[in-house]
Amino acid sequence: MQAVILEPGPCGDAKARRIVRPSAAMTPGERLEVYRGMYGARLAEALEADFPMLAGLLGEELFAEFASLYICEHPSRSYTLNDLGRNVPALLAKLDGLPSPALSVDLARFELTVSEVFDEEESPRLTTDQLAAVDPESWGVARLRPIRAFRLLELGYPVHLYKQRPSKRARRTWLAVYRRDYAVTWHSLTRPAYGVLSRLAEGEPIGAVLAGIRNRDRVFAWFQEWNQEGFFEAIEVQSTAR
Amino acid sequence: MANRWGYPDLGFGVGLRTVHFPYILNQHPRVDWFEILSENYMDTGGRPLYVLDQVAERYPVVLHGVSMSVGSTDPVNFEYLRKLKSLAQRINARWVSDHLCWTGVAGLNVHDLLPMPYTDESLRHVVERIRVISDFLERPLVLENPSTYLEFHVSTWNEWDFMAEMAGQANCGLLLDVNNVYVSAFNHGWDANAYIDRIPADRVVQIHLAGHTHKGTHILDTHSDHVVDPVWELYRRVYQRMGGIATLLEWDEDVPDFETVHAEALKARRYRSSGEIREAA
Ligand SMILES: [Fe+2]
Repeated sequence: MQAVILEPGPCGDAKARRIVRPSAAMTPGERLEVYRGMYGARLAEALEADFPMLAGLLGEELFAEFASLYICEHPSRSYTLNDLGRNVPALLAKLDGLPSPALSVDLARFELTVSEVFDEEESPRLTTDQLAAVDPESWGVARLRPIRAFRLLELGYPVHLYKQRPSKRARRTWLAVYRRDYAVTWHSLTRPAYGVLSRLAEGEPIGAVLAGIRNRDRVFAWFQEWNQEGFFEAIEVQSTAR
Repeated sequence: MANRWGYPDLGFGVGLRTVHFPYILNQHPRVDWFEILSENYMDTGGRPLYVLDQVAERYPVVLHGVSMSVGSTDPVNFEYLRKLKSLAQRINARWVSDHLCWTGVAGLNVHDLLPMPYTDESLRHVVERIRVISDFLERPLVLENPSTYLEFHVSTWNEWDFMAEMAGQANCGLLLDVNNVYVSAFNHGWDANAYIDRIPADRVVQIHLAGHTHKGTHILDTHSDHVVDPVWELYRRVYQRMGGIATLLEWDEDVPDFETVHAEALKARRYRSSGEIREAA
């Protein structure tokens, strides 16, 4: 049974006949085919649910082809389908002959990130009281800790706008993808803001990040906005970056 | 007649589905109870869990899984069971169920409820695993009869006797899916009435009802439609033989609005009122 369902390629009716009883209306091979057909369809459907924009870009036929190749290369080894698609961007990047290869990869990276952020653990949010409690002397060594449901993306296409305006025009794009009130959302960043935010999110001391930046007011304005969006869960004065 | 663990007849429940989240949170419909798909809440810390916590505050909730793979030859997945147990504790699950099936082998998972051969050997195997799992969960496991699309030459038991014997030896509960009885009976030419009549009533903790898709040569258990009349008649037979048992309607494809699904579940009332209740032997 395991072999005949999981084995790729059409299964011989002779093999099926040895294992499976016929029914009044179906041969053993036809009965096995019910399971085999559902297997491919189920996993392809799960991929499409997680990558709807990629599926739209590739079109029905090409996406179905990609899904069956993906399932062969990365069959599910987990009881959950939540992380089935984690290798989708990598496999897309390896394929030749896709119509819009770079855009496909970017859409997939974005959609995968959205799924991850959706399922992350909930975190508390950094409060103004916690910020006020930091000793001014310690700001230089303090480190910010982002919430769990937070990711940064550097992309070649504005994929966050793709759903509203499916355009294939390239444009450097920097995004913070995060969860607010249990909904996944994103925030478009300028390149310098992305640079600062990624260093802060990696746990670099605030002083080190600010060193060499002339327009600090601008950074403080960014920080206020980011904190209002709920990007951070804590500020740590000891060197306990995770 | 009551089941041997005294699990209550929770009434007429509905499977909790994402598309109904806003309606349920805003309207607080008067529903007897909800069944949730365990795996949808085990690896997420986001909105699903947040919604579930609120549902569990208002309604009795039962956990129903598809990934325990109780029939598999792979080692029992204790990491999975640990998460399942903690979810059950978190929402005060009234009981925890899964299916008599296997979902994969050698680490692979096909995310399907694959049929088991019904032999003395598979019976010993599954009984041993149910004991291990129930011990770990510290509660009796409840297992559902699956819809199946094939039978094995090696099977020496019919499904209903296998389930009865398994439940007795492993001391587990049964979730009797009446639609699955109908679907498998059609697919394999079994007698659905005989199936119902041979299931030990004191083991049955819960009933499932659902719609299906008739393909002519076989029926697929799609949960995509209203319950068909012959299945309602089987439900009446279950009631006459076993009395009131927590009854749940599953609807997973082409899911209509919540009120339609709930109304379908409440139809079950009609089939509980007519006919004599016979004490099961
Ligand atoms: Fe069921």
